[in-house]
This record gives sequence, C-alpha cells and structure tokens, in this order.
Amino acid sequence: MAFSDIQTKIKDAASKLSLVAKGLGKQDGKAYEAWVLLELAARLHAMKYDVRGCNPTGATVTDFRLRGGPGHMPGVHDKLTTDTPSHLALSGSYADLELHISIEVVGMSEATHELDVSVLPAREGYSCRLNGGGPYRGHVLLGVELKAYDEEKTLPMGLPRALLGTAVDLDPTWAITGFAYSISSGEVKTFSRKRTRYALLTTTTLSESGQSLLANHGIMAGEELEPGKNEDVIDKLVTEISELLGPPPPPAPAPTSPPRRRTLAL
Amino acid sequence: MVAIHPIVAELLDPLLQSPLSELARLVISRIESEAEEHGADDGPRVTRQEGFEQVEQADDVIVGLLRRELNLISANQRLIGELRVRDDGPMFTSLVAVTANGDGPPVLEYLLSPARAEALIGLLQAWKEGVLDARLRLERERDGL
Repeated sequence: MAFSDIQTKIKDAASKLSLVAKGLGKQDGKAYEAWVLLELAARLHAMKYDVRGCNPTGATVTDFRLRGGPGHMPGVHDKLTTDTPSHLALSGSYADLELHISIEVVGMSEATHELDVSVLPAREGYSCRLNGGGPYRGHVLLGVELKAYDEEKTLPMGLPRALLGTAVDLDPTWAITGFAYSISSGEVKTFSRKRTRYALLTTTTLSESGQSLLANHGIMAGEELEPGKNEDVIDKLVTEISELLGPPPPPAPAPTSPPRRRTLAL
Repeated sequence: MVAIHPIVAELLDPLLQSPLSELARLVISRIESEAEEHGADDGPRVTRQEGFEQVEQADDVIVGLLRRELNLISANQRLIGELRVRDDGPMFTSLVAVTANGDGPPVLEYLLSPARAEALIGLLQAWKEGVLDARLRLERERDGL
C-alpha cells in the first residue's frame, strides 16, 4: 500500500473518531475523570453506603452528565437542559456528602479554582444551588486533581505547585496541621486538626521534587494510575470519604407484608 | 525547537490535517521534551537514528492514549454494571460528557458508546500501519535504498 493511502486511512480514522470523542487529546480527560468517579462510587457502594447520581434538584438521574470544563454549581431553579451537570450523593450515618466533577470554587483571594473531583457537605452544596448556584464558596472536604497526561513522561512541577496554591487560597490556615499549648502545670498538649485532604492523581510520573512537595504537605499522590494499575491511592481516597461519612447507614427495614385476612369457610 | 524527521512529519501530517490535530501536537511536545532531556541540539538536521527514536516516541504517545481510552471504556462499563446492582432503585446507566460548556449549544459525548470504542480501534489500526511503514522507510533510508 502506498504511504499516501495509509495517510488517508489515518486522516479518515481520526476524523471519524473526532465525531464521537471531540475532547480527545485536549487534556480534558473526561473518561479518566469518569473512571475515578465510578471507582469511588463503586467501592463506597460495595461498602453499603448509599450512592446515587443526582441532578441539581436532588432527583436521581440515569444519564450521568460530566462537565466538559470547569463550571459553576447550577441553581436548583435553573431549567434542566442536556448540559446540566450531575453529581453523586453519598450518605453515611454521620454525614451526607456530594461528589462533584470539575466544579469551580472561590478562594480567599476571590480567584476561582477548578477541582477535578471535590467532596462537599451535602447541606452546603444544596444551599449553593438553592441560592442560584455559581462558583462554590463553601467548605471543601476533599479535593482531587486529575491529569491524564501524554505530553511529557513526567508531570510538570507547575501542577503540584498549583494544587498547593489552591489549597492555601481556599484555606490560608491549611498548612497548619496542628496546635500545641501549655497548661498551668507546664505540660504541653498537642492536637491535630482535621483539614481538607488533597490528592494529585496522574497517568504519568511525578518528578522527585513534585513527590517531595506533595508528601511534605500531606497531599496524596497517585502516579501511573490507570484501570488495574496502582489503584491503592483510590482505596486511600475511599477511606478518607468513609471516615467523613461514618458507618454505612442501616439498611432500610424490609417491607412487611400485610397480615393475611383469614377467610372463614362457611 | 527540535527538528522533526521528514518521515515522522509525514506520519503526523494526517493527524495534523484532521480535527484531532491536538494528538499530533502532543507527539511534538513529547519529542521536544525528550530531546531537551537528552540535550539534543536545535539544528535543522535530524539523523536517521533520531528519526527512529521519534517514531517510537510518537507511537508511545498515540498508542498509549488510544489504549488508555479503550481501557477506560471497558473499566467504566464494568463499574456501571457493578453500580446497577442495587436493591433500592436504579443507578445511572450511561456517562455523558458535555464538551461545549456555556458557548453555543452543548455538544454531548457519550463516553461508553460502542461507536467511540470502534472509532478508537479504527485509528489505532490505521496508526499502526503508518508506524510500520515509517519504520520500513527509515530502514531503507539507512540502507541507501
């Protein structure tokens, strides 16, 4: 076959693919984001947590819609359209949470930041939507940056730095991991604070500096993470979320059948 | 900016001419970053050996990306199946990415559709033929044929 024929085949195949995978190669990694979301959902579901895909009003959806890019929280009263994003509702014995994809959150500087995956208290998420939506200003419990990355073999250092910057802008005290104080006897007591957890997960590797930066600040790192490969970091995220949720809710009581009416033989 | 071997440029050309030109850009970025890492000079000449290396780098990027997308489709289908097993009502059955956000009508991308998997396999096969041919032509160039 002449090389020009092969070139035509490649061009035709790429054109055909572009019709069904428009974002491919543009670093949007929607399928990758979807996979991380589904891994979290399936593992929590297997642990007997209540996991549902919802639209902004809280109604269950059958087509789960992912934002194509960073976006605002939709309002409860906004008209539902084909591009209204979905989120996951998670319920445990201690808390109800929401898991969102590609939501914009506002930092102390008033700058907006995108979190590829974020876990929020359900009450604050709903409150944002009830007030018309927009960039989320509430509390973020868990933030995950995802990078399906092909340009280089190592993720650029700018990405771990950017995640650290986001963490500090969302909570300027974030770097403080605990407190120490002395009581009248002179004894020093310490306690650690529960702070927002972050993770950077990528299909590629991190440089030594990147690993060191993340580890030093307690940010979880997942390198060369793909289906069936290095998934232990997903387990760590599930553990974090389940600690926030508390034990799974007790199963709903089985419906009782009405007492059978006794018939008397006449 | 590192020079691309003419045979590699011809291999990338159909991607550049297609709506998925971004894939060719990823390859060029990878070739540049690897050349930088290995301290290659920015001269206009590219040796045959560098041509071979560039073909392998291009193949790594394109095959890696397409195979990953195919793996993600099957992993996502499996996970949706696991989530469907519920006693208390339905879970979602499809995944849709809304690729145009805000500007103009939304463009929906069905992440689990068989058409998406078929099209990924189609490009993977066409690309493999291109890589094979590029390697052969580089071989011939070396042998002075």
